[in-house]
Amino acid sequence: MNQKTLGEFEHIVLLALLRLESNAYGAAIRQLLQAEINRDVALGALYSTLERMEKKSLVVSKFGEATAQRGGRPKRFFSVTVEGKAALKHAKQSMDSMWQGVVLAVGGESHEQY
Amino acid sequence: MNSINSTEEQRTSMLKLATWLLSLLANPIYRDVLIGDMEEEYTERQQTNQESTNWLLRQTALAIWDGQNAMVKTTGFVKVLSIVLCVLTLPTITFFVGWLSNMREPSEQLWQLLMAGEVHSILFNAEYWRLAWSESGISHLELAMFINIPSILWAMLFAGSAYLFLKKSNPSVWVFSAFALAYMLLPYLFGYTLISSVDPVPQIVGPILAFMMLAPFFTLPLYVCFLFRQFSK
Repeated sequence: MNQKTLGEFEHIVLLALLRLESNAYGAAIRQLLQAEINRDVALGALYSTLERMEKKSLVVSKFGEATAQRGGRPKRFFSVTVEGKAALKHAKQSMDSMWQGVVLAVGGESHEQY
Repeated sequence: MNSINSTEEQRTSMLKLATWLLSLLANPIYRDVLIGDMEEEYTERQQTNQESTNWLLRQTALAIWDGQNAMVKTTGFVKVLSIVLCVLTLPTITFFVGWLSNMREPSEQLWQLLMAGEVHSILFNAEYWRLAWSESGISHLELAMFINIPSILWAMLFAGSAYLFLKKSNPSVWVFSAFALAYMLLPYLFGYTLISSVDPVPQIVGPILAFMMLAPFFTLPLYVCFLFRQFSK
């Protein structure tokens, strides 16, 4: 099987979608990334990434109902496909494998083994 | 109370401005949901006393950047750009060739520029354009002025290689445009380099100048034809 590779941001966004489950839409994903990894993501960049991942069949989306709080505009909910989950699993295995036995010297003093 | 109302009004108008800008300039594929998300989070930030105005401005600017970036990559944009290029370039070359063909006694400075192959110095000098218009206008154009065999052969070479390039490589619209642009610029660079390095006699400079200007004149319409035919969607 031709395994799809993930970029760093794609990887993070897919994990955010899994964590948000059925509430994974633009603003919620952005806020989760801000809260969890202190990454202030632009909504435009987030949607560009989600569009790209949808074209790669890593995610699918569906529109919710329009609400007054959003000026009558609908939410677009994203979820991870089977292919997306497989790509995530593959990325994790690759990372775990590459981290085996790596020792990082942080600031020249403390050492951390993964 | 007035101050609170004034701040509220300012925030509302900021949001309206951002929404208007995004409705024009954001990527149309996700424009509506993006504006909805932005409006929702902006309201939440106001309600929880988080910094909101700069956040909104930053998000708007970045979304516009993304939208324009995506737009520039579209085939439609390249097509519009190529039409603009045609509209600007073809009449310019036509007029310029007509002027040079009808020129009787050029000034010493103009003659020196022509003999040095520095057509670009003439093209970007408004004084010469005024002179050209007063000398000949567009009344003395003849078909024979545009018949230049090397230029026509060059355009045919472009047509052949463009056909093969599109067939074999299936390039993106920008790669194909860069390929065509190289074909349009090479005759000029070749002619200019040749004149600069060999310093030929005036009788030889004329045909070289004709090739430098007429090769792009024939190549550009062919490029546009290929562009509209191959990238029809």
